Amino acid sequence: MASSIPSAPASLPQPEPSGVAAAAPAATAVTAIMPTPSVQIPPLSFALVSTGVYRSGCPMPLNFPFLSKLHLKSIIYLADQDLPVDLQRFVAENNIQVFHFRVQQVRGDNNATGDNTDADADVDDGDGSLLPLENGTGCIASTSAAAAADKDGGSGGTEVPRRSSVISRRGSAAAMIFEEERERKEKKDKDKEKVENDPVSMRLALELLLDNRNFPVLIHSNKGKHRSGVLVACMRKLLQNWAFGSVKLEYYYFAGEKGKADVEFIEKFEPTLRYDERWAPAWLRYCPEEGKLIKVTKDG
Amino acid sequence: MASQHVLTKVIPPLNFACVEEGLYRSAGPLSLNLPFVSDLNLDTVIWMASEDPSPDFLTWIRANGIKFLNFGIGEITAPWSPDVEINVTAALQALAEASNGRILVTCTMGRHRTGTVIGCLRRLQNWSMTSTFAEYRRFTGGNRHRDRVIEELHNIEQFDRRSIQLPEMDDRQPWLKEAQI
Repeated sequence: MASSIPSAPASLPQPEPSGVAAAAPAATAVTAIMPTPSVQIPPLSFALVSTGVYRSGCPMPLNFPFLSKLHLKSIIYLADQDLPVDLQRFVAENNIQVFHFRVQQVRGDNNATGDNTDADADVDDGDGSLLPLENGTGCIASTSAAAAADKDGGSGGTEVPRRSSVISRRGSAAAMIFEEERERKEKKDKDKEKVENDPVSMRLALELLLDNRNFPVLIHSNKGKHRSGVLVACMRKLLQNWAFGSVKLEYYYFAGEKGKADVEFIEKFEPTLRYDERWAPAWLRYCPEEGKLIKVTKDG
Repeated sequence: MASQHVLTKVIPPLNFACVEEGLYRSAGPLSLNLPFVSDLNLDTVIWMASEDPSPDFLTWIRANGIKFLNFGIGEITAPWSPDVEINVTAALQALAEASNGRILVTCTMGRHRTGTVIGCLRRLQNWSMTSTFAEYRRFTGGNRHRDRVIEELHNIEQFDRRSIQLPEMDDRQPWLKEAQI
């Protein structure tokens, strides 16, 4: 290799370390062996999606130094497990709002099965509920008991109260559990045959992406492939007006060859989304004729 | 930006991705990608291929007063040949300058040559090798072009961060503020 050691290292912005390294070849060898403490390790499948929106697999403690530099305001977590304990601590310390959608790994005949087992395996399963991390500032996460009392268990149609509870939670390190998703998950536990993407969770997650007060936001699932991929794909298709071929390509960059059922879901999914123009993200592009995006005024 | 609604679907160039805020990568844009590329509000295009970009893209660049920096190299098939090293280093140098604003790094297919530049940028940002390679591999696909992949990964690993003279903090792109040489 034709390496070029600069002859005048003193002109570099950080003269001290580079000066030492350039002066003594032995020093270079030492730094090569010992890992630099400042080496940045992004989470698995990490990527910037658009301004203020990131995606990744489940962040591990070794990713936290990198993650803290993103200055995240919220996390959209798509998985049926609880947030790993380490990550719970991280979000509490950094005052990050967690929106937890308990969606399961998609299973079905047209979806490859090999993926399901390993996707669930490598998560450091926290022992408890999400409640411990609400010891920060005011918490708004509804416990299962309280919310079960509030909502009469009717699925669908009750998104208005849930939406308002989403909106009224500025600046606290609390986790949201959407009760309907939990009920849905329990139903699906009994019926393990086939799991499809959950349109209700997807719609709610997309509406979170339509509010730039949540930014910077990290979308993450266990491996950052399928469930995150579906949400990002829906965002590309519905909010950024990407051609479907491009949406599909991007999905497969992360998912590899698996996930046909996901792509079918992405193609068919045409929800009606509500958003407030005042907080619409700068990257929002949509086709007004399709009428799928409805402007509303939220109480700020 | 938000008020400028597009009536038809937009088509990003192949292998398009956001690398950092205001830094993008892709294959060489074709005329059908121009509505999408216009939306990026680019200031600078960094062209890494020795082939010419599509005529429509070139016309569009001129019409919009975008800075076009040509660091064209052929296929990378050897460890840091001088020609490749000079051009990749120059491209990184241009990337680091805040005065170049919003940048698109592009070559013909947006896989290997673009991937090498972005890989070296991640080295400058002190990313771990695993994450850098994972990002590179995302766009080069499976095991096709195995020889090129090996050479390029080797190049990224061997990339000498001291060959870049980072601009002073104020003139540096925000995503390189913490870069260490």
